[in-house]
Amino acid sequence: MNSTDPDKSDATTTVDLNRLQSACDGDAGVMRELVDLYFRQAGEIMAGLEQAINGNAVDDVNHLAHKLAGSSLACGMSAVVPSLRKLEEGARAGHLNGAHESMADVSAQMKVVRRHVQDYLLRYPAQ
Amino acid sequence: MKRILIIEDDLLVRSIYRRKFEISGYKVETAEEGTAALALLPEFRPDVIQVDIMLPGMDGVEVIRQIRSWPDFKLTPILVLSSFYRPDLAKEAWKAGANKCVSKMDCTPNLALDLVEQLLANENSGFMPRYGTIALARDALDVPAEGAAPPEVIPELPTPPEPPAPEKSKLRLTMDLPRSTGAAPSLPTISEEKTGPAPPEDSKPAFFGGTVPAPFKPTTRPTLGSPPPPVPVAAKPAVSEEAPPPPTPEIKPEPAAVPSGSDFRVEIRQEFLRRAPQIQGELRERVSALIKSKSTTDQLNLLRELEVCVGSLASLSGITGFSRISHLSGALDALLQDLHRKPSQMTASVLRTIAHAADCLNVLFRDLIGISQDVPQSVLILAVDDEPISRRTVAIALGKANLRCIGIEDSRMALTILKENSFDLIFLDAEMPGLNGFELCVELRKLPTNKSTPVIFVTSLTNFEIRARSSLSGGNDLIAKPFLMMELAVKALTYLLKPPTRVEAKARTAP
Repeated sequence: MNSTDPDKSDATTTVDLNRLQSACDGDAGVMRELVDLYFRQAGEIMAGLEQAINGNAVDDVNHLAHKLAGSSLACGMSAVVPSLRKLEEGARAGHLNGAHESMADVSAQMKVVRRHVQDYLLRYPAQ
Repeated sequence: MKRILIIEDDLLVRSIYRRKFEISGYKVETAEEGTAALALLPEFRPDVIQVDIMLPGMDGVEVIRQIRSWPDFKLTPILVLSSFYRPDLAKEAWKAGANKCVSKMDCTPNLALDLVEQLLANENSGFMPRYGTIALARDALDVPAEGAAPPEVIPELPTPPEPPAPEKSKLRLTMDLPRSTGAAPSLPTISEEKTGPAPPEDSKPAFFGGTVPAPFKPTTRPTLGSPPPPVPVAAKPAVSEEAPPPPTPEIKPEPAAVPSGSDFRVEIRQEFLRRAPQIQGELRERVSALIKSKSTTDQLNLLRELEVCVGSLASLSGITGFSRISHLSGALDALLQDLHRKPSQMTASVLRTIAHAADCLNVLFRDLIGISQDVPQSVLILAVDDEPISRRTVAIALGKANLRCIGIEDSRMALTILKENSFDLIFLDAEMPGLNGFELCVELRKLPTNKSTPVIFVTSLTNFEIRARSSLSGGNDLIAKPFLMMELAVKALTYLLKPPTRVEAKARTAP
């Protein structure tokens, strides 16, 4: 079966704009709503992740990394997904080796993604 | 005698409309694609035009644009048959100058006639929307003001009265599934008095006289977004070509009495029933080929063939009043069109959804007479996901099929709600804090209210372990995140429109 792994295909770009448009069916209002929702939620989850990593709470890291990776994929915020998956896989295997590095990478990529999306929204025609 | 030009690529659908308008006293010309239709205009000079939005070559929107660019046809009323599941196309049609858009999933010949007569009556009374000034007539004809929100395709027609549904739950949400047309009692039926002179024998669609039905042959469709071909100066109009395609032998139709409205409806339904096994076989074959295909090129070609086949089925089942088939095939058609535009999103999950929808269509085909064709009017859907974006995207996706859901963040709260209320469909996130999706599913299967409600897991993990846990916990299906909006809509419709098996029905009614 010629199927595509969304994790892999989406990880090649900073923001998968097709995915973002698809998530809101090209509706500018819905796109802004989803983007706001995403960054608000991402901020909360990242704060929770930092706390969970510092507290060595493996289950929480697994859950939060999985949650943010899922919403990132849904909205096309591809660049943050690989590091989140790394965190998730480690936590699922019961360890947090390299978690701080992965978390730093998530933060850095999130800034890039935010800038990219903001630029895009400025250009996206309002309907 | 009023003149109508029908632009429709499907031979059988075209024949049905031709017949309907002819027995209602119209002079009818037909064209199977836009170029031929434009070539016909100067000579035929129609009073009204009916156009299918999905046409091979030049699509319906472009045809309308071209018609409106001719000074003589700036004001000619145009009725558009569009897909309920592609409101974007209806919006484009409005912008191009259409006067009325109607969902072909619900459009019966009676409704088309009614709308055409309404358009003509409004034209005569001076209320006709004029191109460029359509806002003036929006109240009379539901035409939106320029710049207004995109109009919805109308799944109109009153439905026949339904028996009161049993009290299902304390929580009730009005659901606006596209309405089935049923036997539209309030619409004018064609009576002997109303009908005009019978058309010449040779212009009658062959199948009405008892001709052997032609093989179900999907016609070609345009690639969406492709530029329209130039209009040839001397294009030969494809008119009066309603004979079945070779190699079917043409049998001269017997002279038939002009049928009444109900006879006409019976006649076209019988024709659909005669063709059903063939359509079913084609569908099965094409889906199977798509799923087995290995290369992307093959997949794209097969996808296109399937799209044509399903689109044709949506039109044909809609016109004949088989609403469940028409809605599911219409939604599936919209999903296939999405995939056509974004082939990279053809994941294993999407292919499963397509196969599942095709299976459901086969079930609906199996007992066309026995199964109610009414589309459920009120359904209750629950979506449980701790992540707001996922809940929102599920809601948007369901909205594509005019469905709404109750979204719950907390799985324990969801369990409380599930104890009290029976749902028609449940979407569960697999990974949630507290009770995860699998645990919640195990618990809800113990509840009399939801022990047999279809449960679909929505998860970004679709490996073997997750599949096994999904099944073991009592889940019915699984959809991979991120999903295409239409994929989730098709998945939902597949469960909502499929008639329950005897075992399922028994489980639902058991105390």
